[in-house]
Amino acid sequence: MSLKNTTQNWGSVARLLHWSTAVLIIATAIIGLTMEDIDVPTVYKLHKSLGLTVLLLVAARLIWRLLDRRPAYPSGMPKLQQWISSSAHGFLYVSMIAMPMSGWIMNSAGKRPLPLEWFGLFPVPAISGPNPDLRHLAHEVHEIGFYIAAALLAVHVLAALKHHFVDRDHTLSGMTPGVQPLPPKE
Amino acid sequence: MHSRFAAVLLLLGIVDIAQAIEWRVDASHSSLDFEFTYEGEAFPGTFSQFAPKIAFDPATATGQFDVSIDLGSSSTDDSEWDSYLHGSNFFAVKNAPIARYRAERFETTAEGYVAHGELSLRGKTQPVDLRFIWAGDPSESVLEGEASLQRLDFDVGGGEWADDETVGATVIVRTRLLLMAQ
Repeated sequence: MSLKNTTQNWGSVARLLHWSTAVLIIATAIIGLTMEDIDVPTVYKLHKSLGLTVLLLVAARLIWRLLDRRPAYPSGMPKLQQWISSSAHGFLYVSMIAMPMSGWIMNSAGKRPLPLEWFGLFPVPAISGPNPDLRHLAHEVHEIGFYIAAALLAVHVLAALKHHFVDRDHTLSGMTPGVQPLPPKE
Repeated sequence: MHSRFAAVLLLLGIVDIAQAIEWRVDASHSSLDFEFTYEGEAFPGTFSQFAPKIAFDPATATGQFDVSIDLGSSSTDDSEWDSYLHGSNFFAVKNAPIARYRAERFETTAEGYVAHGELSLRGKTQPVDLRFIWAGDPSESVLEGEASLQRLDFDVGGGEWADDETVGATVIVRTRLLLMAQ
C-alpha cells in the first residue's frame, strides 16, 4: 500500500488519519457521556485532551486532503448518491471541528475557567474571555452537535457496510486494512 | 444571668443537655450553603444532604448541635467544578464522606447567638464559631446562621489550589433551618 491514495484505494496516510480520528472520537464521546457520573477531574481532563487531539488530527486531514487525490467513487454510483455522500462527509468534517471547538470555547468562556492542559504536558490557552452567553451557546452546540454527529457517524458506518455487503464495491475495503471486497453477487 | 446559671447546672450535671428543647428539622425548608471566592468573586454552592440534630433553648442559650454533612452532595452550578470539590484536592469524599459540626457551648450576642463548636472535615478538627439568629415560637422556629472558616485549616483545596490567588482562603457557610418542636 502506498503512502498516497490511488484512484481505487486510500493510502496509508489517509487510513492512519481516518482510523486514529475514529478511535479518538469514539473514546472522547464515551468519556464525555459518562464523565459527569464518574465525577473525577482527571476524566474531564482526558476528555479535553482527546478532543483537542481530534481537532489537531482533523486539521492534518484537511491539509492532507488538499495535497492528495481522492479515490474515485465506485463506477456506476448515481450522481445524486455521490452528491449525498460528499455532503455527508462535509457535515462529518463540520462536526469534527465544531465539537472540539465548542468544547474549547466552553472551557474558555466559563465564569470560573479551569486550567486546560494537553495531557498535562503543556497549557492550552483560552480562546475567549469569560462570557456566559457565549458559553451557553457553545454548550448548546456541543450537546446538540453530539447527537447530530452521532447520527452522521451511524449513517457513515451503515453506508460503508451497505457498500461492502450489498453493493460489494471497494468503499469499505479501500479504507480498512485486511478487508477485501466481496465477490460480486450471482 | 440565666445562661450562666444554666451553664453551672450543666457543669454540675444537674441539667442533662438532652433536656434542652429538641427540634425536628424540616429538611425541605432548610438549607446549607457555602460560598468561596474565585478570583475575588463569590462562587456559591450548596450541600443538598445534611442531617442536623438540634437541641436548643433560646431562653437559656443552652443545647447541643450535631450536624452531619454529606460532602458528596456538595454542588455548584458546574458539574466539572463539582468533580474537583469531591476530588482528592478538595473534600476527598472517598476518604471521608461526612463532615461533622458539633457545638455544646453557646453565647448570647447583641444580634443573637454564637455557637462555639468544632468542625471535623478531611480528618482535621478545628474550632468554628457559628453566629446565628433564632426566631419563632416554642412550636416552630427558624435558625439562620453563618460561619466563616479557613479552608486551608482543613487542607481543603490542596495541590494546585493551595495558593489562595485563584480560590480564596476564606469560605463562608450559611444555613437556614426550619425547626419544629418535638
